[in-house]
Amino acid sequence: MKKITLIGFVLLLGVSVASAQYYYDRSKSTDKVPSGKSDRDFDRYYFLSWDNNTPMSNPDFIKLASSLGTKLGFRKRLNSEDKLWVGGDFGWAVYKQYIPYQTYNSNSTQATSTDLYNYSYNYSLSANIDYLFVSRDKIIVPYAGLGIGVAYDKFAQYWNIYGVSGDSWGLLLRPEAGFLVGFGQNSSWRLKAAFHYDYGSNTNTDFGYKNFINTGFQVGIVKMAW
Amino acid sequence: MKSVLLILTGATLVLWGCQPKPSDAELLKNLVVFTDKSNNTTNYTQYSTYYLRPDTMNYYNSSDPNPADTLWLSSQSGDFVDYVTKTVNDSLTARGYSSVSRKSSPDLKVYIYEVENYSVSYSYYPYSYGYGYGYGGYGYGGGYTTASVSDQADLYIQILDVKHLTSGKPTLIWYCDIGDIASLSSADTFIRALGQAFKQSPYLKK
Repeated sequence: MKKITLIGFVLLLGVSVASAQYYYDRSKSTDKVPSGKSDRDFDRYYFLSWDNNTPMSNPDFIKLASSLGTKLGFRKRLNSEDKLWVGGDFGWAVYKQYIPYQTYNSNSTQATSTDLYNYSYNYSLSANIDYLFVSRDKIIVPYAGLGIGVAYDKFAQYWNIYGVSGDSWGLLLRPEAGFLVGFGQNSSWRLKAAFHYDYGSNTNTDFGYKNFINTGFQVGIVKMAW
Repeated sequence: MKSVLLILTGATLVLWGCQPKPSDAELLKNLVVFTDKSNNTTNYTQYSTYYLRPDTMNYYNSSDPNPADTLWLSSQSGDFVDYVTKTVNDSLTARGYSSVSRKSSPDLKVYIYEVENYSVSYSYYPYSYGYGYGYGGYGYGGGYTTASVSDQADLYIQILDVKHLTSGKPTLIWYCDIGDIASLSSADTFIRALGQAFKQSPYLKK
């Protein structure tokens, strides 16, 4: 899995570098030619983040935080003001919890003893808009944003050789706030750190979910391009 | 931009398909133990004696073309039948019931059996290639066969009231299902499960 993610990210960066080269050549025909790092007019970026999430809905099923999460996304500058950026995110997170061996009395005559593995596989696809509080050529660029999209959750429970699962689609709302931290003034490589709060309207009565809410902290790497 | 979207879509599909599950070692470290006393009104203290053949279990296999009740003797199964029958005997004795012979008109009969669902399915994947155009051409093909085996087994213990017959038939007063024993990870796992069956049935006592 790590290899696949790494290869995907390297390919993503390769494309962005190639894309940057294309735009650089085209800019030679205009009156604006970047002469140094501070002149590079980045108008888009791509990122890959490690996402650490804590579920807040239905703690009886899963309440443990999960470090098994990834976010892929891109942003494009909306206008020359350099403040509003729009784009999209794809998020993937897996939550799991082990319920130790215990006995469940299902009615007055029956009892079942087993241990359980509860899993929740969460996927999200959102359209995002971010507001940068300072110009993007600063080393530290704080921002706040909002993502709206769809979330797909698959809930599964495994025990011994048996298992059950159910799934749900829902509307996703994700406010987010964080920083882009460059490795220098107007750096093309940056780090991203952000907190986010996700509300998914996903419902699954079999697994006791009326919605899926989680908080998350993501740390990632950003490639600026123009 | 199209390439980026293509790669994002590809990465999305890869991650979408990535749904880790617990390992077999985790899943199989405990067996599932189900018990049912069938009837809430049963008074278990009214029974005193039971009959259980000490060295024999019944065994059913779904792959048997003529499924029938097969006797499984301890001499055929190593220690397994001995262990199961001895543990059940010891557990019932510890709860105040006495083991007697079948001819001594026992109050209860204990019936232990295993059901194994074993199946093998074969799939044939043909392939062929070649070319043809106009009036000629050639082609040849072949294929390969894959076999899929599944095996699952449960151990059942039934205790029947043979003292009070209903329409001439004994009444089931306790039932236990332990599985999956076909994928047992260790003997200890089974020993714990068999003990658990009685532990979660505290009402089963004289």
